[in-house]
Amino acid sequence: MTRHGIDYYHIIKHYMDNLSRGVFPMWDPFYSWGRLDNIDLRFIGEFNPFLWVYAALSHTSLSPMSSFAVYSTSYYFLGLFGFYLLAKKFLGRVDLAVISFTLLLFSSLTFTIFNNYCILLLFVPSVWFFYFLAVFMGSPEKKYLLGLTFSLMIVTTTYMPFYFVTISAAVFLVFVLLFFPEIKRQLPKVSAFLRKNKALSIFCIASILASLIPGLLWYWEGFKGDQILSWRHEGAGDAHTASMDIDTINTGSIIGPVTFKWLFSELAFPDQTLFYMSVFIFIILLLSMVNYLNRRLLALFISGFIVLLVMLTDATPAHRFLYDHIYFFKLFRNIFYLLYLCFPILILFCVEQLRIFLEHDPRSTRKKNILLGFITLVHLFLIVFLFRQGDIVMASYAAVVLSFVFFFAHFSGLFKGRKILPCFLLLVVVLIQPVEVFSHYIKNKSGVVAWFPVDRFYPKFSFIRPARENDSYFKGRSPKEMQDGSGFDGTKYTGLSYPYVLQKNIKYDVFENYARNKFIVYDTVEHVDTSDIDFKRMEEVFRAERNLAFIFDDVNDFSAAGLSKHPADQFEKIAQNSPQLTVLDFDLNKIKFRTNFSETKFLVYNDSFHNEWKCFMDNQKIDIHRANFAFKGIWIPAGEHIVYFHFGVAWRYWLSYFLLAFYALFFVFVIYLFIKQDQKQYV
Amino acid sequence: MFNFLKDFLKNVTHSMLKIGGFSWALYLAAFLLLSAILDQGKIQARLLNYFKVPMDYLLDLSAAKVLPNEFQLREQIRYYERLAQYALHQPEPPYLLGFCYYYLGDHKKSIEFYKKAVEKAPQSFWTYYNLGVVYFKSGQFEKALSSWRKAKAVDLRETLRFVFASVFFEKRYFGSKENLILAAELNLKEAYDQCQEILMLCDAQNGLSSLRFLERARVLQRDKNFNPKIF
Repeated sequence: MTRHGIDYYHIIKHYMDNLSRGVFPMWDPFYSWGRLDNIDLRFIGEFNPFLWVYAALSHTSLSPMSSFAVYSTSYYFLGLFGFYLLAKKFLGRVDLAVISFTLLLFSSLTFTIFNNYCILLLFVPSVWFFYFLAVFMGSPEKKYLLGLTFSLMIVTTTYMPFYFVTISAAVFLVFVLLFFPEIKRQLPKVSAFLRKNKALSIFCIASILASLIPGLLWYWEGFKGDQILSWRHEGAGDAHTASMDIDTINTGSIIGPVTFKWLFSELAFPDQTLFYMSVFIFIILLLSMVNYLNRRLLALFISGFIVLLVMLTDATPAHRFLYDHIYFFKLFRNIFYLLYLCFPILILFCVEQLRIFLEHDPRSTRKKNILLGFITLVHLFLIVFLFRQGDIVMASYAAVVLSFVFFFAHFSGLFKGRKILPCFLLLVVVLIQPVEVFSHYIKNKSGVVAWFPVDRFYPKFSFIRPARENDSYFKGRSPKEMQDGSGFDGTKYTGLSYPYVLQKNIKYDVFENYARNKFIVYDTVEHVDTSDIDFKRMEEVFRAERNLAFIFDDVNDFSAAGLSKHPADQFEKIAQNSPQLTVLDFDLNKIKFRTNFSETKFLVYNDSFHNEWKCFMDNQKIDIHRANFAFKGIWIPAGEHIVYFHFGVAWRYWLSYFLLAFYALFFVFVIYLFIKQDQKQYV
Repeated sequence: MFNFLKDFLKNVTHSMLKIGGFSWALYLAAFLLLSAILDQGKIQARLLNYFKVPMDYLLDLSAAKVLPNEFQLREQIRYYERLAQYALHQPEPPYLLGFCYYYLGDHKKSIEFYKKAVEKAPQSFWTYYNLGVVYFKSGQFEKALSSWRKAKAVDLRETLRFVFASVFFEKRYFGSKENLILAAELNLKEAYDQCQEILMLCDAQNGLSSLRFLERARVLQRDKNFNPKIF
């Protein structure tokens, strides 16, 4: 797995390990000095019930890594199965659906399990959505409507559903235009079904609306400005945290990762190949030049072409136009994800062309000879073309030769009366090159990440953060098996804005030295006017470790009453449990500790300040001050007290738990409906 | 209005299917459309940016600090091949491609690119020297000696000027200007001395068949540190 691929393992493991203990991750105290956990959850689609497969497996004798491998692979196969059904519906033939399935399985989409799993999280529900839509339009039934709704619900909770929206818009637009009479004929049937099942229809709409809530909340929070995605937001003319300027988005173009040469050559080094598909598709595309077009081909081609124009980013005016006129195009930058989502379109187009080509029926010997001559010419051309490209894997030539044998035999009538042999030969033609390419992929496996924490991610509190140079922490991943991060993350800061501004204005080493201690106790405080912040002075105070905390809010309750009359020069760091401060309980969203100071103190907890944090002292709610610009500070009177910090508002937790249960039940219900109806048919 | 639109679409579709019914017409139309709207300049710039890789690995390899790695070499080749398409008159891209192909074990291609570099920069010691090394390693001693003789004849100050002035050679690798000058001069002296030593061996004993030359050649051919250098 590549570094990026393994991140998904860590996120899923982190999420499910906590969830299985009843903790819904809302806050990540180990990253960027504490931050909201919503971005990472978006990556994995936190309500997807299939995640429970991972959780269930990881509670068996399987290791978390093996559980992830089984879960991610089976989820991918679920998508492939959906594509098989879609292909069967579209092409009307099982053998061609199998060929389509094989082409997709042995494409670079499979590599994304190991290097960019979030593409599959988007791909699987998208494929099922189109399948359910196709069958529902053909014969409106409850199970299909629920399936359609459910796949849409999954899509809306994945990372950036806008990729799906873009593809769907292109497909809908073209299919509606080209199949308008058919759609018009079907609409009354669909409309009658929806009227007849009003309650179900309302339920489906309500479900989709409910599934939109987490995304909308995230979207709305992006406008508040308290979060920063430094590496992508820089230069964006828009206020939303996730928005980007056009140049940043243009780097996500397919130009570069996909070149004409790489479609054919250097396939022995496919570790990062964005687009790979069996050479057989190029053979079909060449042969199909003599095919008559039908509307299905036209629709697939045009919708794919529209998306291609978008994927080329600034090389065509299409993307710029969309960026300027449709807001959500400012929010997603990995435009090349669209390419993966276009694989089914390309494959269906090619296999439909194959079907039409195989149906050519030359009546006269002359026509037959012309066709055989054309087939020979195309294959010869490809052999010469491949040879001229250089760095061609040998199986490419073998595939072309076998393809020639297949088509020659087919049109010479050698397959007459045989069904298995042509199918088998066709599968060999499709598979022979990918088998070699995939074997190279396995052999090369560059960028393997060596550390895979196998222990459960049960948050442990550490009083001191690791040093910056030893840090590679992410969601429990750490080469030193330390469950904490320094907070620094090179150029890719993803967290709250206060710590980001502070680290930008204070020398790294001074800030690091200060923020490594989670608890710091002060005897003197100073209120700072937020319109006039002197970071230089703060830096000096941090460097000298002076016994002075800065308070950045208007809550004016920091009277000096009870504070030490003879304060020490330097602040006091709490480096471990002590009689003065003992941590009693800790998880991602909370911390509870006992204090026992001889005098009133001001305690700074160096975890990012956010207004959704609440603090209770001896069960009484107290104010949290924004201390030292970015962190949480509270007043602690002398004597023994129990302090309890808790993140998040109750309705958010309830919403999350409700959606978790709702998605799971919905999924079970859809499965039940399919099984029930299948049994009925069987009876 | 609606009926008009419907009829229009129907006619367009019908015409497309009937007149340009063959798929080739569709492919051709798409190709022509793309050709008309694609901004070639932006594509080229994007490709160059995408393939750009730091030169550190090649400089490490040149200094024998790392072992040849096929992936890294291919990455470099991809970039310099592309760069060569745009920087048509610059000697550096073929020069560096010659270097990369040598380490990939493709001496034929390496010689081909070094020859191109020689054509574009006849006043560089390193191009002749490296070409000589590849010839030598391939057992083509006569050509190697001829190339080294040309290398010896080059003004070394010109070579240093070429190295320092090149925008393609990344200087930040050396940390400071002083380090760069020191390294460039030292490497140049080392290579020049080696060149001279072999040529003297050969000339003194009257030709390639002399025993001392053959002995030295055998040793050098196996010497893992006797390789082309960047500068």
